[in-house]
Amino acid sequence: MEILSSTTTTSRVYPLSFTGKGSDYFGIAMVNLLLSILTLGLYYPWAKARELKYLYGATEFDGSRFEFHGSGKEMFRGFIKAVIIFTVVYGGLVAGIILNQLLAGLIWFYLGLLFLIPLAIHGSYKYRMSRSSWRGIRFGYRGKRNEFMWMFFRELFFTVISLGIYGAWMTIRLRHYVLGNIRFGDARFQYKGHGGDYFVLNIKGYFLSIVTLGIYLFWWQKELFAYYVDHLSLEHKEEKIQFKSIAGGGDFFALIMVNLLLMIFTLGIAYPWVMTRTLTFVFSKIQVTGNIDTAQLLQTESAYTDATGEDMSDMLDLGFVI
Amino acid sequence: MDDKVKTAARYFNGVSARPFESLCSLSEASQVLVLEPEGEAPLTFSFRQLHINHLEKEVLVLASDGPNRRIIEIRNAPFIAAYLRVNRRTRWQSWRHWFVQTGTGVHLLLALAILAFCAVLYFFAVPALAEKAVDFIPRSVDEKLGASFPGATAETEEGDSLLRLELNRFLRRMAPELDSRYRITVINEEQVNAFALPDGRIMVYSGILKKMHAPGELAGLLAHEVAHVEHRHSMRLLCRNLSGYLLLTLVLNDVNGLLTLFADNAQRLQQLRYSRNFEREADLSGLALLRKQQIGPEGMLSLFRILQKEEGLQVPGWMSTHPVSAERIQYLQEKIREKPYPVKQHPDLEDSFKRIRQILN
Repeated sequence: MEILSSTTTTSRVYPLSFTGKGSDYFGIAMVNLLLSILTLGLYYPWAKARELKYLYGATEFDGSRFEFHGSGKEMFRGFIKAVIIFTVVYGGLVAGIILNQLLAGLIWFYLGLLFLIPLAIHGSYKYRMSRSSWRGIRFGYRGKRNEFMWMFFRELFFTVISLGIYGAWMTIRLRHYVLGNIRFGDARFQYKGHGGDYFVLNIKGYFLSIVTLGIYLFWWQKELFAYYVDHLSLEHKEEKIQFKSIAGGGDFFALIMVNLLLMIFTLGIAYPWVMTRTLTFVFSKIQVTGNIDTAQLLQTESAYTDATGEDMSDMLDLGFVI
Repeated sequence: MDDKVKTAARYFNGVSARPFESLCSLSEASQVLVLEPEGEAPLTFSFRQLHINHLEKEVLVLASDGPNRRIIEIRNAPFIAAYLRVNRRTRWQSWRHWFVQTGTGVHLLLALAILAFCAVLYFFAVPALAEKAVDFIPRSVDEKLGASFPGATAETEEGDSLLRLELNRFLRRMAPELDSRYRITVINEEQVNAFALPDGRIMVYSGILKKMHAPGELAGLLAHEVAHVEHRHSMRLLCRNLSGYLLLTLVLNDVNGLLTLFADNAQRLQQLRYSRNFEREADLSGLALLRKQQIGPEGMLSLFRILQKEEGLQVPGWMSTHPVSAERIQYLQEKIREKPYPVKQHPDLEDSFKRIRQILN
């Protein structure tokens, strides 16, 4: 490989691609399904580790693959803890029903779930980032749990009293905090969106989608994707890498419609192909340019092995991307 | 080296992302991989230390144990094949790799086999097991379940409580050996319906009472509802539903919303099938109760004719919670023909029914 650049400051394009194949991923999913059934579902954390390993390993940045090195064992421990936590939350609801205190039970249940959301986000980032690496250099998440919880509930409070309008600002501020605390070795991510722009984007998307009977949805999706990617950058000392979306609304239309048809007509069996198609799309539509010399990145982030947050966010069905 | 397989590789030392172009070779006898990074001392990794991060035909990424994972990237198909062959520790991994490579046809076949297996489990094994489980749940749980139903609400008015007294007297006269769990509550609504709670409460809508003309009809209705409780249908339905859901969530674990939607509908159809079977069972053992008390079966038949008139649009049998009334009349008639029984006069029931009619008017 001759891309070993010396410390030039000239800008270049970094290749980024996903090379995974649906058929390979299907094979992995089948082994996992079989083992999950044989173990009555207990294999789930190991299955998840396998799938993440494959998806990360098939993603290539600047000539090297990413790596997910979390283990099934870690995630199983997290899984057990998450199950206990959820049992307590659900248990309160059941106790409420049995003791004829339905209201108290419901309040306990919903407050509990609400409380778990920021905990799950924090925990899953901390775990997932620590277990992701590239060329042996770990990612890391340096957000503080209490700080994030406080922020989450403060923003949520404003969103509620503004009848949801503040939601756009909330999203951007959370993103700003979470993404801004991600480290890639000694490089750090930055997110520079604005709540106001994001609000306008969504209002526009909402009304145009209604006016065009939903056709604009795909262009709205394109703008949301671009708003995420275009405001993201990676900084390393004086150097910088900027991400940029090159996806068009038509691209999203093709991706989503084909995915939908695949899922419907195969009763979901095509899920692995849908997944690999989507990742191929996402990584081919992000352009990465900048002047960071990747050979200079240093290992700085410590390992973190508690996967409870990761498993909780699975149970809450939270997407990983905030 | 006893094995002459060599290749170029890239090595990362886990401290920085700087690539070291290296020469890599294998030794089967000592189960090690030797790496000679450019301008650095050679490194020896035992196979035990190395994990496969990612494996494709032409890409192999290895990582070593330890706090800082050292990474070796190899892009040479013959070398990768040799590594998998020589390394005794990768058998399990290469078994997986082999399976992943066998082709989509085999995977699809396996998918279908798993699907078929789950279907058998779901439609036959799990319901049967759930049925068995009910025998281990004490009756007292049924009582609690029934008690959690928002209470006997609509029977506070004077007329209603008179009606309730008379209906309960009717029930005692028609089946003296029933225990005190069984009690009737009237819901003052025009609906033509009745249902039983698992604790023995029988809820009868005044709508259905107004449609009745003979004591046998009321006897038929009550016999049917008593049978639901006797057979613990609520508890059985609950157990079957729960176990069905459990299986579905286990199998569909992390699959997305669309499959869950399918699963929900499968569950709903299953439930309809169960409840139709339960209705049938309640009809037939209701009839048995009438036989035991020597109460004529015509009342029950005429009750279903009343219901038949109420059924406007006919839902196909398999989509409905109850068998259609015509079908119920048919199998009851067959049963009566098969096993006719002597019928007694029941002046006490006639008397009680007359009073019920009076209160209603």
